Amino acid sequence: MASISGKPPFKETNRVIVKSETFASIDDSVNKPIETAPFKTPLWWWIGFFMAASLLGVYLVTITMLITKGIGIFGNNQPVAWGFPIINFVWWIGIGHAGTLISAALLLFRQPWRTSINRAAEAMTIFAVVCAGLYPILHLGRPWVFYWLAPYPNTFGLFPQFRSPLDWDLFAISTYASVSILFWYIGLVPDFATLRDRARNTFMQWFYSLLSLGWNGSAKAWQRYMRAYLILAALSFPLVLSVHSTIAMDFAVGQLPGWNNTIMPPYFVAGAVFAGFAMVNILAIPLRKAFGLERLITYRHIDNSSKLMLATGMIVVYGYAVELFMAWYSGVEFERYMAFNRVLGTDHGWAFALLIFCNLIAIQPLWSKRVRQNMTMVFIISIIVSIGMWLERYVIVVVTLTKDFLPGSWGDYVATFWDYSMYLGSFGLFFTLWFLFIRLLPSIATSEMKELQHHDSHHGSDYYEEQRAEEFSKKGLPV
Amino acid sequence: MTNILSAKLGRLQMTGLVLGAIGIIVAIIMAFVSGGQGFFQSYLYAFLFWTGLALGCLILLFVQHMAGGSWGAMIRRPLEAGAMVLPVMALLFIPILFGMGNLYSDWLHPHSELVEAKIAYLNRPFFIIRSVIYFAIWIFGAWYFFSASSKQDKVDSHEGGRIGFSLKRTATFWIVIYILTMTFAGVDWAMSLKPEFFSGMYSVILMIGQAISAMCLMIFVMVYLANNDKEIDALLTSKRLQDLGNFLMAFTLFWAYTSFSQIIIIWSNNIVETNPYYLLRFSAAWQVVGYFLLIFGFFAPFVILFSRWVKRKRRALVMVAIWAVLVRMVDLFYIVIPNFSREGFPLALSDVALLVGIGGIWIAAFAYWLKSRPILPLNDPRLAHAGGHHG
Repeated sequence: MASISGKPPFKETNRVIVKSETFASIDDSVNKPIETAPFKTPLWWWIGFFMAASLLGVYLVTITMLITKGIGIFGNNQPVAWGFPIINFVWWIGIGHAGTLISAALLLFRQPWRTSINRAAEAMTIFAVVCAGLYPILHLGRPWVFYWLAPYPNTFGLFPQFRSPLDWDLFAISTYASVSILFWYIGLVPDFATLRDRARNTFMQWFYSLLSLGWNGSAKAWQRYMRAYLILAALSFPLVLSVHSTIAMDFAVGQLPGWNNTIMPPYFVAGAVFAGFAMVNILAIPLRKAFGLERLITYRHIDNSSKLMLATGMIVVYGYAVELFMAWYSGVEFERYMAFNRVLGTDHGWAFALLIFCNLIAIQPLWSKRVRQNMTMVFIISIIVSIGMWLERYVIVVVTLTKDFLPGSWGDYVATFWDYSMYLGSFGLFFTLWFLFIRLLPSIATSEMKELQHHDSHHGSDYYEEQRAEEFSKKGLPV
Repeated sequence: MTNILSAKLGRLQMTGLVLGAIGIIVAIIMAFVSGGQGFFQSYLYAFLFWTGLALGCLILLFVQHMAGGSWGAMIRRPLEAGAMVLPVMALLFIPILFGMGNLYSDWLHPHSELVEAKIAYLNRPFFIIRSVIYFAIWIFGAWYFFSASSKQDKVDSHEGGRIGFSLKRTATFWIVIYILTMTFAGVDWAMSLKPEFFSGMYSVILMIGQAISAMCLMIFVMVYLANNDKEIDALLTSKRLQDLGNFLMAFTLFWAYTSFSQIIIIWSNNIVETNPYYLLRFSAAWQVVGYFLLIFGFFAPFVILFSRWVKRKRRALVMVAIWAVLVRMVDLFYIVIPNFSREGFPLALSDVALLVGIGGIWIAAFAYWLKSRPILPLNDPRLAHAGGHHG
């Protein structure tokens, strides 16, 4: 992929930011791709956008089919009443979590490296929540009455069942979506103002000044901005836990062996963050190359995000181990059979084996620094992890449901064409939004990068900078 | 370290030993008076609390190496001292082996098919082997980080930085090992008291409790040291104190989250193997403790710790930390003691006596290790940046 910023290739680095960066160079490298005239948009963007939009078309066709024919077009049936729609819903919403973790949790923990990837990760969060949120609504069968889920006074005396976690989902997801969008937008305001001030034509100036809400860069504006940003970060932090815990409860409050494990909530959260960091890597690695952002999104970021992927992946594996051990330890026949069927069952055992490969074995190379510094390797591992996390939900939903208590009611599950087309189509929705995002909005938070650059030039990158540099140069890795 | 501080820690060590002796003697007398039934129950409770504190120090030691800034370097030495109490706790585990017949009779002599199905795991030799393995691993971990830290004092600042960097990476492995071992230790020592019961979250709740009590200990120790040592006084700025307070708040939140998840899942499942756990704890005799934990263990500290003022004022934060430790004791009591179906008022004198007794020994060992070396690590680059210390 050609770099459109026109900068000469440079040496990769493991600092949080390249030392020679200035305020102006940060502004230039982030904003140039956005300011390019439409007809000068690089070819790779058009190809990517076209492919995404085609898949979006598939999505729209599937939804049309779904609304006209009903959810009978899916493979869901007894005993597997929850098939692809819930798997894909959980998969998509999980992906969003890394964005929230990066933007909120790492901000509160004062991790400077979050700065250059938080914007893109937040965008990823919002798009993933959009993809996820559509699933339960479309899965209702009568999507046009989705608002019946909300508790509002009405003439049919209808009220949601508050003991059902499916109703908690409504609150969890809508809160998550609104806080994420607010957080993202507040962060964008100073950057919109920068774009407004750099605009070279009236349309752009008008467009970005509208978005920047009259930002004037005064001390008061900054002070209020910082306060709002911190409050929103504190609000989003619990959301990292709450959203996926609620989704774990969808399963865990049931009596089904394989679902009723008390470890489910934190282990689902870890799984979500795990899948999310995989997606961050999948998006950030091509992005930094394509837009020539290697000076701002450095090896250090990919390295750290891979470390977090490894850490959360190990928690997920811990979850698997605890689940299996507890199934055995319970001494309950059904629990033990569930574990046996999951691991060694003849019809779906392959899914578990593949899952262990993707989520346990494939991530182990990440312990090595050399692997974390190799973009191709990280990219491939991240894709494997994404597949693994999909399989995890497949194992939890489908494999558990096929064989529950009574052998007489056992059954199998086969996904239909429309199940697949809807999943594929949701990628279209995600990537269409993603390509529009990287073309129209600054994919790195420039104002925060300038703050980081200022801090870095005075205080250095971190405590172990010297030791890291020494060790890395000894091993022939970028310093 | 100043001579005054060293003398004060020496006195603390003596006080600890005296308290330990008194507590244990009272408990033994109680055991003879009441026939010995309650002794091991109280002993297990006190043992779990204090071992938990040492393990909390161990895991926080790993965590601050992996992720910590200057706040981590600042509390390193007290954490190392706390983790080095583990060998003492291993010795104090021996009485439990003698009390096994009393404590774990439900699985030593199984009465139901459900429990019989587990005897491959729950049996006396395997239980002992596992406990030995846990302690061996933990003690090795504590010793490894303790001695590397001592070595860091003796080299120059560059080499010290290199040791710190290598500890930062090793810590990650140790976190994995700690979580694995503690998961099974939790099942063995506490969950198997009622062998029908099972919950994947159980050990996680114990682990987070350990981290809370260790963080509280660090808050006391740092404030105590700052009042007695000028260098630490300068280092313990309100901002770093707030870091510790933030951790206390986050851990409290996480404790509530894990405990609540376990309750709501078991309550909703309502299956016969697991629901007796909460049926018992929600019964008239015990529900008061549950409400206490909900209101004063979670809501009150959570609301109070929202205040930046509290987290930045030494005295205020120490008060909250004392409260949080008391809540830890109550929470562990609520986890362990209902299993024994005591009659009448559930709190026995021997519970308190042994909590004080083992605690006295714990504090003595802690003070011994703390005064054996400089309170601040000399060549930790994180402190060189902090500006409060020039090693």
